[in-house]
Amino acid sequence: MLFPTLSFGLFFLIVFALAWSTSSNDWRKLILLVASWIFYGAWDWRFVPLLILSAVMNWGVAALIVRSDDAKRRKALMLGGVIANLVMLGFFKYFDFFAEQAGSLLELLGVKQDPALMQVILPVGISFFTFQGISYAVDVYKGRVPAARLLDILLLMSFFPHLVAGPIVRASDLVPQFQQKPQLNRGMVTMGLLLIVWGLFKKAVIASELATAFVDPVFEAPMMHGRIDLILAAYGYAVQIYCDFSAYSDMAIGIAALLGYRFPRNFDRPYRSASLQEFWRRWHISLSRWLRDYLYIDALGGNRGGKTRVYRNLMLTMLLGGLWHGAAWTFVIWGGLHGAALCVERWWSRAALTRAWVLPHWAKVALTFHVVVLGWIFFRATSFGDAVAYLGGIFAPGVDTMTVTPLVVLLIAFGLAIHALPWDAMQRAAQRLRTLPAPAFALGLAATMLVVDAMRYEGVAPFIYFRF
Amino acid sequence: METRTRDSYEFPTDLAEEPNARSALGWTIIVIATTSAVLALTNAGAISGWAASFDPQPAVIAMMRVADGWDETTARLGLGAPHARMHKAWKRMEQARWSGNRPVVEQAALDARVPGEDPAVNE
Repeated sequence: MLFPTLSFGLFFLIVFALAWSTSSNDWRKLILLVASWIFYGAWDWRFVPLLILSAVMNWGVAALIVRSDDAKRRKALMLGGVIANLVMLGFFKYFDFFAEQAGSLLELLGVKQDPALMQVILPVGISFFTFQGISYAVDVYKGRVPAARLLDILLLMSFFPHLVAGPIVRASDLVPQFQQKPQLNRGMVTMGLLLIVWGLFKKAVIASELATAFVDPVFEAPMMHGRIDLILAAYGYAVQIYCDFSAYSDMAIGIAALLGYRFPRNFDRPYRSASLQEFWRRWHISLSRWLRDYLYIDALGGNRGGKTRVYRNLMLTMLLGGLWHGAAWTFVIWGGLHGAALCVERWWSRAALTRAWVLPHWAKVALTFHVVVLGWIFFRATSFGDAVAYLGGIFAPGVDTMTVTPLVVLLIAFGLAIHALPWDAMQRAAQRLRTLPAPAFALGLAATMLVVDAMRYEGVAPFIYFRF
Repeated sequence: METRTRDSYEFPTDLAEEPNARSALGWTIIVIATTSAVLALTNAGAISGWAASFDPQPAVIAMMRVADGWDETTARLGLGAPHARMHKAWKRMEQARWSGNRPVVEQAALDARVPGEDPAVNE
């Protein structure tokens, strides 16, 4: 059940009506919980018990942690909880990948054995809800959040707006909201509806059109395209993945707002970043903050322990962040590229060279953008060889045939131009629109949705981040 | 990844305090109901397309009949015309090419051709 479909629209209308019709907060949460399981079950019913098991396990670990006075036991419980989450994630997401790598390694050593592949089906959203579970267990252990009721943890991990592709909403953000009956105000609703329509436009028009009309065909057969196509398809993919993923986050934030809950911002115009460090403060913010807090600082020690250790920690964080996106070497290389760029940036900013060589801001933005685009080529390619062939095609001499259309160029330009908007452009619009009478606002909303629907590509492709 | 601070997450749906703030549930219900009704009137084709996307079982067939009937009624009243016109204009933009360029599919077919192969032989 994808957000930009009529099936989801009808599902949401029913959930909205039921959730706001009850005066009991517990009943409300039960309604949302069952709705979330139905939403998740629409993909594959078999994994609903896994989702419930994961939530119950994390709730149990946290409950045992707060009951224990023994520091060693508390730590062991927290570590046990983290490991259990990682085992679950590792089995479903990485088992076949590592089995395949082990098989290749054995073959190199002269041992011929077919890898024991299990064709494990990846439960949608598992990377998101296991990370949420880990953060809850660690936060309770560190005393950052109190242990919560089972119902609240079940809903925290299952809540359908963020369930399958984030944002990764932490217990400290959402559980306090679950503990009291939410109230709607016009600002929240207006902003939520604007985010939904804006997300719909980015996904159904920009991302789908770019993918289908240009980016997918070029990445599928890079050798059959000229340099201009290859360069523009790389830019096109940068715009596509931003519009695809940020659209899901926008819609998730908007849908949660209509149900009375606040989700944190997940994207903040990432391609206007003047450094990789800034990029990661603007791209998939909930994941980069998760990686910073739980992996870089809690697990690896952060900036403590000297220069070499800091560079090692940066590299490891980004490599594992890359692997989080998928069980493939292309994601590891993508993470490694970002890690290496972050290390170079850190070294550069601390070296004497900085004073002699100051790049203008626009050049830093352009440089950062192109490093990010280079990373996207590895991220999008199906194999390392394909990515290298793609890059080779960009630099290879030859006749430039061009399949890119004016509309595709326009959409790429538009997708980049929206990064120049002020950060609060939508909030300002919402502040004005919330004063309108309901029928007037509704007519404007319907007219905008009609325009978006007229422009949308036939059918809706799944969101890119669903497979992560 | 420089400093360890409690995240001051920014919540996009938090706007500045509203004057005379009160529960907006009624306002929201009117907005959602009106938007849904306007879209059902002006984009009925989407409903019949959605109904047709299910496996044809008796209940689905009945639903399709209702959806198609609704689509025909709104079309007769001309309510679907703005959407149809906009969709046509968008399709024209999709088909537009740089001067001298062939449509993408045609170009891809040309690109896929083995070098030296005579196109006339295949035609």
